[in-house]
Amino acid sequence: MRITELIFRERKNSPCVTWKLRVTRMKKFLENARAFFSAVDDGREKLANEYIIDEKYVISLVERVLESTGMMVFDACVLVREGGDALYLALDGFWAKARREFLTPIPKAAESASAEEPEISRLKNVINWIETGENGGESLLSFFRVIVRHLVNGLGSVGFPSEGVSELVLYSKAGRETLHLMDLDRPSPRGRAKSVSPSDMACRPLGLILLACESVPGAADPPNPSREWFAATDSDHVSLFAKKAASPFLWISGTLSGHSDADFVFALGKDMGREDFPEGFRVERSGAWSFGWIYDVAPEKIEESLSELGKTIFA
Amino acid sequence: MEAKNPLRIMVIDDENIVGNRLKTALSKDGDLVETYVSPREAVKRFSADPFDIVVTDIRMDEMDGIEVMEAVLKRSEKTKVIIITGYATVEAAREALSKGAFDFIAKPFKPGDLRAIIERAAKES
Repeated sequence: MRITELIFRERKNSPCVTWKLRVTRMKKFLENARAFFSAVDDGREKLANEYIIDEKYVISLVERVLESTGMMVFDACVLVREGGDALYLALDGFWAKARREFLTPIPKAAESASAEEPEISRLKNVINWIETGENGGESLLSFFRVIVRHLVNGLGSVGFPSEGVSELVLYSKAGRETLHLMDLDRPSPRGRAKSVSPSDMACRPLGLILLACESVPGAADPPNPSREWFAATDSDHVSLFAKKAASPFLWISGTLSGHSDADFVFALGKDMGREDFPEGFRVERSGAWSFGWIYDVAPEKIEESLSELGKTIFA
Repeated sequence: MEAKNPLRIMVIDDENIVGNRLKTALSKDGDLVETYVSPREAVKRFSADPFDIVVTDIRMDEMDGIEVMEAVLKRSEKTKVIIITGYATVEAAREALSKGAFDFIAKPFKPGDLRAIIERAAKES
Protein backbone atom coordinates (compact mmCIF):
# COMPACT_ATOMS: atom_id res chain seq x y z
CA MET A 1 0.00 0.00 0.00
CA ARG A 2 1.31 3.42 -0.84
CA ILE A 3 1.90 6.16 1.74
CA THR A 4 -0.78 8.41 0.20
CA GLU A 5 -3.35 5.64 0.46
CA LEU A 6 -2.48 5.18 4.13
CA ILE A 7 -2.85 8.91 4.81
CA PHE A 8 -6.12 9.34 2.95
CA ARG A 9 -7.60 6.17 4.37
CA GLU A 10 -6.79 7.44 7.84
CA ARG A 11 -8.42 10.78 7.05
CA LYS A 12 -11.52 9.19 5.62
CA ASN A 13 -11.96 7.11 8.75
CA SER A 14 -11.65 10.10 11.03
CA PRO A 15 -14.84 11.65 12.39
CA CYS A 16 -12.84 14.87 12.65
CA VAL A 17 -12.84 15.25 8.88
CA THR A 18 -16.63 15.26 8.59
CA TRP A 19 -16.96 17.83 11.36
CA LYS A 20 -14.22 20.04 9.98
CA LEU A 21 -15.90 20.02 6.60
CA ARG A 22 -19.26 20.83 8.16
CA VAL A 23 -17.87 23.73 10.16
CA THR A 24 -15.80 25.04 7.24
CA ARG A 25 -18.84 25.00 4.99
CA MET A 26 -20.97 26.74 7.62
CA LYS A 27 -18.32 29.41 7.99
CA LYS A 28 -18.30 29.88 4.22
CA PHE A 29 -22.07 30.29 4.37
CA LEU A 30 -21.67 33.07 6.93
CA GLU A 31 -18.99 34.79 4.88
CA ASN A 32 -21.29 34.78 1.87
CA ALA A 33 -24.18 36.00 4.03
CA ARG A 34 -21.99 38.84 5.21
CA ALA A 35 -21.10 39.69 1.59
CA PHE A 36 -24.80 39.70 0.72
CA PHE A 37 -25.81 42.00 3.54
CA SER A 38 -22.78 44.27 3.07
CA ALA A 39 -23.74 44.77 -0.57
CA VAL A 40 -27.34 45.58 0.36
CA ASP A 41 -26.23 47.98 3.11
CA ASP A 42 -23.89 49.65 0.61
CA GLY A 43 -26.73 50.17 -1.87
CA ARG A 44 -28.96 51.64 0.84
CA GLU A 45 -26.18 53.96 1.96
CA LYS A 46 -25.62 55.22 -1.58
CA LEU A 47 -29.32 56.08 -1.86
CA ALA A 48 -29.61 57.68 1.55
CA ASN A 49 -26.54 59.87 1.27
CA GLU A 50 -27.05 61.20 -2.25
CA TYR A 51 -23.99 59.65 -3.76
CA ILE A 52 -23.23 60.19 -7.43
CA ILE A 53 -23.45 56.74 -8.94
CA ASP A 54 -23.31 55.32 -12.43
CA GLU A 55 -24.96 52.45 -14.23
CA LYS A 56 -21.97 50.19 -13.60
CA TYR A 57 -22.40 50.52 -9.84
CA VAL A 58 -26.02 49.37 -10.02
CA ILE A 59 -25.15 46.44 -12.28
CA SER A 60 -22.26 45.40 -10.05
CA LEU A 61 -24.52 45.58 -6.97
CA VAL A 62 -27.04 43.24 -8.57
CA GLU A 63 -24.26 40.84 -9.56
CA ARG A 64 -22.73 40.92 -6.08
CA VAL A 65 -25.97 40.08 -4.28
CA LEU A 66 -26.86 37.34 -6.73
CA GLU A 67 -23.40 35.80 -6.65
CA SER A 68 -23.33 35.74 -2.87
CA THR A 69 -26.86 34.29 -2.83
CA GLY A 70 -25.69 31.61 -5.25
CA MET A 71 -22.75 30.77 -2.99
CA MET A 72 -25.07 30.51 0.01
CA VAL A 73 -27.30 28.11 -1.92
CA PHE A 74 -24.23 26.03 -2.75
CA ASP A 75 -23.06 26.04 0.89
CA ALA A 76 -26.50 25.13 2.16
CA CYS A 77 -26.83 22.27 -0.32
CA VAL A 78 -23.45 20.87 0.64
CA LEU A 79 -24.53 20.88 4.29
CA VAL A 80 -28.04 19.59 3.60
CA ARG A 81 -28.39 17.87 0.25
CA GLU A 82 -32.04 16.95 0.28
CA GLY A 83 -34.30 19.59 -1.20
CA GLY A 84 -31.41 21.52 -2.76
CA ASP A 85 -32.85 21.38 -6.29
CA ALA A 86 -35.68 23.68 -5.29
CA LEU A 87 -33.18 26.26 -4.05
CA TYR A 88 -31.25 26.18 -7.32
CA LEU A 89 -34.48 26.52 -9.28
CA ALA A 90 -35.48 29.56 -7.27
CA LEU A 91 -32.01 31.05 -7.73
CA ASP A 92 -32.32 30.63 -11.49
CA GLY A 93 -35.57 32.57 -11.31
CA PHE A 94 -33.87 35.48 -9.57
CA TRP A 95 -31.08 35.57 -12.16
CA ALA A 96 -33.60 35.48 -15.01
CA LYS A 97 -35.46 38.45 -13.55
CA ALA A 98 -32.25 40.35 -12.99
CA ARG A 99 -31.12 39.78 -16.58
CA ARG A 100 -34.47 41.02 -17.87
CA GLU A 101 -34.79 44.09 -15.69
CA PHE A 102 -31.61 45.12 -13.90
CA LEU A 103 -28.60 43.93 -15.86
CA THR A 104 -29.60 45.88 -18.96
CA PRO A 105 -28.35 49.35 -19.95
CA ILE A 106 -30.29 52.10 -18.22
CA PRO A 107 -32.22 54.17 -20.76
CA LYS A 108 -31.30 57.85 -20.68
CA ALA A 109 -34.18 60.02 -19.51
CA ALA A 110 -35.16 63.27 -21.15
CA GLU A 111 -33.76 66.37 -19.48
CA SER A 112 -36.05 67.64 -16.77
CA ALA A 113 -35.36 69.64 -13.67
CA SER A 114 -37.71 67.56 -11.56
CA ALA A 115 -37.14 64.07 -12.99
CA GLU A 116 -35.26 61.58 -10.86
CA GLU A 117 -32.05 60.39 -12.47
CA PRO A 118 -32.53 56.99 -14.14
CA GLU A 119 -29.54 55.55 -12.25
CA ILE A 120 -31.18 56.44 -8.93
CA SER A 121 -34.53 55.00 -10.06
CA ARG A 122 -32.84 51.78 -11.08
CA LEU A 123 -31.01 51.57 -7.74
CA LYS A 124 -34.27 52.12 -5.85
CA ASN A 125 -35.92 49.36 -7.86
CA VAL A 126 -33.03 47.01 -7.15
CA ILE A 127 -33.12 47.68 -3.39
CA ASN A 128 -36.88 47.23 -3.43
CA TRP A 129 -36.53 43.92 -5.28
CA ILE A 130 -33.91 42.70 -2.81
CA GLU A 131 -35.83 43.74 0.32
CA THR A 132 -39.51 43.44 -0.43
CA GLY A 133 -39.94 41.83 -3.84
CA GLU A 134 -42.15 43.28 -6.53
CA ASN A 135 -45.86 42.75 -7.21
CA GLY A 136 -46.11 40.12 -4.50
CA GLY A 137 -43.09 38.21 -5.77
CA GLU A 138 -40.41 36.82 -3.50
CA SER A 139 -37.61 39.10 -2.40
CA LEU A 140 -33.98 38.05 -2.15
CA LEU A 141 -34.16 38.67 1.57
CA SER A 142 -37.07 36.27 1.98
CA PHE A 143 -35.16 33.77 -0.17
CA PHE A 144 -32.24 34.06 2.27
CA ARG A 145 -34.65 33.01 5.01
CA VAL A 146 -35.79 30.07 2.88
CA ILE A 147 -32.15 28.98 2.64
CA VAL A 148 -31.81 29.22 6.42
CA ARG A 149 -34.96 27.11 6.87
CA HIS A 150 -33.46 24.54 4.49
CA LEU A 151 -30.38 24.38 6.75
CA VAL A 152 -32.38 24.17 9.95
CA ASN A 153 -34.63 21.40 8.66
CA GLY A 154 -31.54 19.41 7.69
CA LEU A 155 -29.74 19.89 11.00
CA GLY A 156 -32.26 17.66 12.72
CA SER A 157 -30.51 14.66 11.15
CA VAL A 158 -27.06 15.46 12.56
CA GLY A 159 -25.41 12.37 14.04
CA PHE A 160 -22.72 12.56 16.72
CA PRO A 161 -19.57 10.41 16.65
CA SER A 162 -18.85 8.21 19.65
CA GLU A 163 -15.18 7.48 18.89
CA GLY A 164 -12.42 9.60 20.36
CA VAL A 165 -14.82 11.77 22.31
CA SER A 166 -14.02 13.10 25.77
CA GLU A 167 -16.58 14.07 28.35
CA LEU A 168 -16.81 17.09 30.56
CA VAL A 169 -19.43 17.36 33.29
CA LEU A 170 -20.32 20.79 34.55
CA TYR A 171 -22.47 21.74 37.50
CA SER A 172 -24.13 25.04 36.90
CA LYS A 173 -26.94 26.90 38.56
CA ALA A 174 -29.18 25.73 35.75
CA GLY A 175 -28.39 22.07 36.25
CA ARG A 176 -25.86 19.45 35.29
CA GLU A 177 -24.47 19.78 31.79
CA THR A 178 -22.66 17.08 29.90
CA LEU A 179 -20.30 18.23 27.18
CA HIS A 180 -19.07 15.64 24.72
CA LEU A 181 -15.83 16.98 23.32
CA MET A 182 -14.04 16.15 20.10
CA ASP A 183 -10.57 17.55 19.51
CA LEU A 184 -10.32 18.63 15.87
CA ASP A 185 -6.55 19.00 16.12
CA ARG A 186 -6.18 15.25 16.39
CA PRO A 187 -6.74 13.73 12.96
CA SER A 188 -7.20 10.18 14.19
CA PRO A 189 -8.58 9.91 17.70
CA ARG A 190 -7.87 6.53 19.21
CA GLY A 191 -10.63 5.13 21.36
CA ARG A 192 -12.59 7.03 23.98
CA ALA A 193 -10.61 9.67 25.83
CA LYS A 194 -10.89 10.21 29.58
CA SER A 195 -12.98 12.88 31.18
CA VAL A 196 -11.48 16.37 31.17
CA SER A 197 -11.78 19.36 33.41
CA PRO A 198 -12.34 22.95 32.24
CA SER A 199 -8.71 23.77 32.99
CA ASP A 200 -7.65 21.14 30.47
CA MET A 201 -9.46 23.03 27.71
CA ALA A 202 -6.96 24.73 25.44
CA CYS A 203 -9.73 26.01 23.22
CA ARG A 204 -10.26 29.69 24.03
CA PRO A 205 -13.73 30.06 22.56
CA LEU A 206 -15.06 27.11 24.54
CA GLY A 207 -13.16 28.27 27.61
CA LEU A 208 -14.92 31.63 27.36
CA ILE A 209 -18.34 29.99 27.04
CA LEU A 210 -17.62 27.82 30.08
CA LEU A 211 -16.63 30.86 32.16
CA ALA A 212 -20.32 31.52 32.63
CA CYS A 213 -20.80 28.09 34.15
CA GLU A 214 -19.66 27.99 37.76
CA SER A 215 -19.47 24.90 39.88
CA VAL A 216 -21.98 25.03 42.68
CA PRO A 217 -20.18 23.97 45.87
CA GLY A 218 -21.70 21.02 47.69
CA ALA A 219 -24.23 20.41 44.95
CA ALA A 220 -25.72 16.91 44.81
CA ASP A 221 -25.14 15.00 41.61
CA PRO A 222 -28.40 15.28 39.64
CA PRO A 223 -29.09 11.99 37.86
CA ASN A 224 -29.96 13.47 34.52
CA PRO A 225 -28.30 16.28 32.58
CA SER A 226 -30.56 19.28 31.95
CA ARG A 227 -29.20 19.52 28.42
CA GLU A 228 -26.42 17.78 26.54
CA TRP A 229 -23.94 19.36 24.20
CA PHE A 230 -21.47 18.17 21.62
CA ALA A 231 -18.44 20.37 21.08
CA ALA A 232 -15.91 20.09 18.24
CA THR A 233 -12.89 22.17 19.17
CA ASP A 234 -9.36 23.13 18.27
CA SER A 235 -7.08 25.79 19.71
CA ASP A 236 -9.02 28.81 18.47
CA HIS A 237 -12.39 27.49 17.42
CA VAL A 238 -15.46 25.78 18.88
CA SER A 239 -18.66 24.42 17.37
CA LEU A 240 -21.25 23.60 20.00
CA PHE A 241 -24.32 21.55 19.09
CA ALA A 242 -27.30 20.85 21.31
CA LYS A 243 -28.08 17.15 21.43
CA LYS A 244 -31.44 17.73 23.02
CA ALA A 245 -34.28 19.73 21.56
CA ALA A 246 -35.03 21.71 24.72
CA SER A 247 -32.16 24.15 24.34
CA PRO A 248 -32.14 27.86 23.66
CA PHE A 249 -29.55 27.39 20.95
CA LEU A 250 -29.17 24.54 18.51
CA TRP A 251 -25.75 25.46 17.16
CA ILE A 252 -23.06 27.93 18.18
CA SER A 253 -19.76 28.35 16.37
CA GLY A 254 -17.02 30.82 17.16
CA THR A 255 -13.37 31.52 16.50
CA LEU A 256 -10.82 33.65 18.32
CA SER A 257 -7.66 33.51 16.25
CA GLY A 258 -6.88 37.22 16.59
CA HIS A 259 -7.46 37.84 12.89
CA SER A 260 -10.36 40.27 13.01
CA ASP A 261 -11.55 39.55 9.49
CA ALA A 262 -11.62 35.80 10.09
CA ASP A 263 -13.05 35.67 13.60
CA PHE A 264 -16.75 35.25 13.95
CA VAL A 265 -19.49 34.03 16.26
CA PHE A 266 -22.64 32.40 14.96
CA ALA A 267 -25.66 31.20 16.90
CA LEU A 268 -28.82 29.46 15.71
CA GLY A 269 -31.67 29.46 18.18
CA LYS A 270 -35.33 28.59 18.37
CA ASP A 271 -37.99 31.01 19.62
CA MET A 272 -35.29 33.58 20.31
CA GLY A 273 -35.74 37.29 19.89
CA ARG A 274 -33.06 39.83 19.05
CA GLU A 275 -32.71 40.57 22.76
CA ASP A 276 -31.56 36.99 23.36
CA PHE A 277 -28.47 37.51 21.25
CA PRO A 278 -25.44 39.46 22.48
CA GLU A 279 -25.26 43.09 21.46
CA GLY A 280 -23.92 43.73 17.98
CA PHE A 281 -25.19 40.51 16.42
CA ARG A 282 -26.91 40.69 13.07
CA VAL A 283 -30.07 38.61 13.54
CA GLU A 284 -32.35 37.27 10.85
CA ARG A 285 -35.51 35.31 11.62
CA SER A 286 -36.90 32.48 9.59
CA GLY A 287 -40.10 31.06 11.02
CA ALA A 288 -39.41 30.03 14.61
CA TRP A 289 -35.64 30.10 14.07
CA SER A 290 -33.29 33.02 14.62
CA PHE A 291 -29.91 33.13 12.97
CA GLY A 292 -27.44 35.57 14.44
CA TRP A 293 -23.80 36.35 13.76
CA ILE A 294 -21.00 38.84 14.15
CA TYR A 295 -17.91 39.19 12.04
CA ASP A 296 -14.88 41.38 11.74
CA VAL A 297 -15.01 42.87 15.23
CA ALA A 298 -12.33 43.36 17.86
CA PRO A 299 -11.27 40.25 19.83
CA GLU A 300 -12.67 41.81 23.02
CA LYS A 301 -16.10 41.93 21.40
CA ILE A 302 -15.80 38.27 20.37
CA GLU A 303 -14.87 37.36 23.96
CA GLU A 304 -17.77 39.32 25.42
CA SER A 305 -20.19 37.73 22.98
CA LEU A 306 -19.04 34.21 23.74
CA SER A 307 -19.35 34.81 27.49
CA GLU A 308 -22.87 36.22 27.02
CA LEU A 309 -23.88 33.15 25.04
CA GLY A 310 -22.40 30.98 27.77
CA LYS A 311 -24.50 32.75 30.39
CA THR A 312 -27.63 32.21 28.31
CA ILE A 313 -26.93 28.50 28.01
CA PHE A 314 -25.39 27.50 31.27
CA ALA A 315 -26.10 30.07 33.96
CA MET B 1 -11.70 90.07 5.52
CA GLU B 2 -11.15 89.64 1.81
CA ALA B 3 -14.03 87.82 0.10
CA LYS B 4 -13.07 84.62 -1.60
CA ASN B 5 -13.17 84.87 -5.40
CA PRO B 6 -15.63 82.38 -6.76
CA LEU B 7 -14.03 79.52 -8.63
CA ARG B 8 -15.01 78.82 -12.21
CA ILE B 9 -15.59 75.11 -12.40
CA MET B 10 -16.32 73.07 -15.52
CA VAL B 11 -17.85 69.59 -15.13
CA ILE B 12 -17.75 67.20 -18.09
CA ASP B 13 -19.56 63.84 -17.97
CA ASP B 14 -21.78 62.16 -20.52
CA GLU B 15 -24.10 60.99 -17.71
CA ASN B 16 -26.59 63.68 -16.75
CA ILE B 17 -26.70 62.61 -13.09
CA VAL B 18 -23.13 63.79 -12.56
CA GLY B 19 -23.57 67.27 -14.01
CA ASN B 20 -26.99 67.80 -12.43
CA ARG B 21 -25.92 66.82 -8.93
CA LEU B 22 -22.55 68.51 -9.01
CA LYS B 23 -23.96 71.77 -10.35
CA THR B 24 -26.37 71.94 -7.42
CA ALA B 25 -23.82 70.89 -4.81
CA LEU B 26 -20.84 72.95 -5.99
CA SER B 27 -22.84 76.12 -6.65
CA LYS B 28 -23.97 76.28 -3.02
CA ASP B 29 -20.66 77.78 -1.98
CA GLY B 30 -20.94 80.53 -4.55
CA ASP B 31 -18.73 79.01 -7.21
CA LEU B 32 -19.67 79.33 -10.87
CA VAL B 33 -20.34 75.90 -12.34
CA GLU B 34 -20.95 74.94 -15.95
CA THR B 35 -21.75 71.35 -16.93
CA TYR B 36 -21.33 69.59 -20.27
CA VAL B 37 -22.33 66.14 -21.54
CA SER B 38 -20.37 66.68 -24.76
CA PRO B 39 -16.60 66.79 -24.22
CA ARG B 40 -16.08 68.45 -27.62
CA GLU B 41 -18.38 71.32 -26.70
CA ALA B 42 -16.69 71.60 -23.34
CA VAL B 43 -13.22 71.82 -24.90
CA LYS B 44 -14.48 74.43 -27.37
CA ARG B 45 -15.93 76.48 -24.52
CA PHE B 46 -12.74 76.12 -22.49
CA SER B 47 -10.57 77.23 -25.38
CA ALA B 48 -12.54 80.45 -25.64
CA ASP B 49 -12.58 81.10 -21.90
CA PRO B 50 -10.46 78.94 -19.54
CA PHE B 51 -11.79 77.78 -16.17
CA ASP B 52 -9.97 77.41 -12.85
CA ILE B 53 -10.99 73.78 -12.32
CA VAL B 54 -12.08 71.09 -14.79
CA VAL B 55 -13.71 67.94 -13.50
CA THR B 56 -13.97 65.34 -16.24
CA ASP B 57 -15.05 61.74 -16.55
CA ILE B 58 -12.34 59.55 -17.98
CA ARG B 59 -14.47 57.28 -20.17
CA MET B 60 -16.74 59.07 -22.59
CA ASP B 61 -17.83 57.96 -26.05
CA GLU B 62 -17.08 61.15 -27.92
CA MET B 63 -13.66 61.87 -26.45
CA ASP B 64 -11.93 60.40 -23.42
CA GLY B 65 -10.93 62.33 -20.33
CA ILE B 66 -7.20 62.10 -21.09
CA GLU B 67 -7.70 63.90 -24.41
CA VAL B 68 -9.83 66.52 -22.66
CA MET B 69 -7.14 67.01 -20.05
CA GLU B 70 -4.40 67.37 -22.66
CA ALA B 71 -6.43 69.99 -24.53
CA VAL B 72 -7.18 71.87 -21.31
CA LEU B 73 -3.60 71.94 -20.07
CA LYS B 74 -2.34 72.97 -23.48
CA ARG B 75 -4.65 75.99 -23.37
CA SER B 76 -4.14 76.83 -19.69
CA GLU B 77 -1.35 75.33 -17.59
CA LYS B 78 -2.76 76.88 -14.40
CA THR B 79 -6.06 74.99 -14.63
CA LYS B 80 -6.36 72.02 -12.28
CA VAL B 81 -7.90 68.91 -13.82
CA ILE B 82 -9.68 66.37 -11.64
CA ILE B 83 -10.55 63.00 -13.16
CA ILE B 84 -13.69 61.03 -12.37
CA THR B 85 -13.19 57.32 -12.77
CA GLY B 86 -15.81 54.67 -13.07
CA TYR B 87 -16.11 51.64 -10.88
CA ALA B 88 -13.15 49.75 -12.29
CA THR B 89 -10.95 52.20 -14.13
CA VAL B 90 -8.53 53.23 -11.40
CA GLU B 91 -5.61 52.20 -13.60
CA ALA B 92 -6.70 54.74 -16.16
CA ALA B 93 -6.87 57.35 -13.40
CA ARG B 94 -3.26 56.61 -12.49
CA GLU B 95 -2.33 57.17 -16.11
CA ALA B 96 -4.11 60.52 -15.97
CA LEU B 97 -2.14 61.52 -12.88
CA SER B 98 1.12 60.73 -14.64
CA LYS B 99 0.04 63.00 -17.48
CA GLY B 100 -0.77 65.99 -15.31
CA ALA B 101 -4.11 65.48 -13.58
CA PHE B 102 -4.30 67.03 -10.12
CA ASP B 103 -6.22 64.17 -8.55
CA PHE B 104 -8.94 61.64 -9.24
CA ILE B 105 -12.13 60.48 -7.57
CA ALA B 106 -13.89 57.17 -8.16
CA LYS B 107 -17.64 56.70 -8.54
CA PRO B 108 -19.69 56.33 -6.47
CA PHE B 109 -18.74 59.44 -4.48
CA LYS B 110 -20.41 62.16 -2.48
CA PRO B 111 -20.31 65.73 -3.79
CA GLY B 112 -18.63 66.73 -0.52
CA ASP B 113 -15.69 64.46 -1.30
CA LEU B 114 -15.16 66.21 -4.62
CA ARG B 115 -15.54 69.59 -2.93
CA ALA B 116 -12.59 68.72 -0.65
CA ILE B 117 -10.38 67.95 -3.67
CA ILE B 118 -11.47 71.17 -5.40
CA GLU B 119 -10.57 73.19 -2.31
CA ARG B 120 -7.11 71.63 -2.24
CA ALA B 121 -6.70 72.36 -5.92
CA ALA B 122 -7.75 75.97 -5.42
CA LYS B 123 -5.20 76.44 -2.62
CA GLU B 124 -2.40 75.22 -4.85
CA SER B 125 -3.30 77.55 -7.72
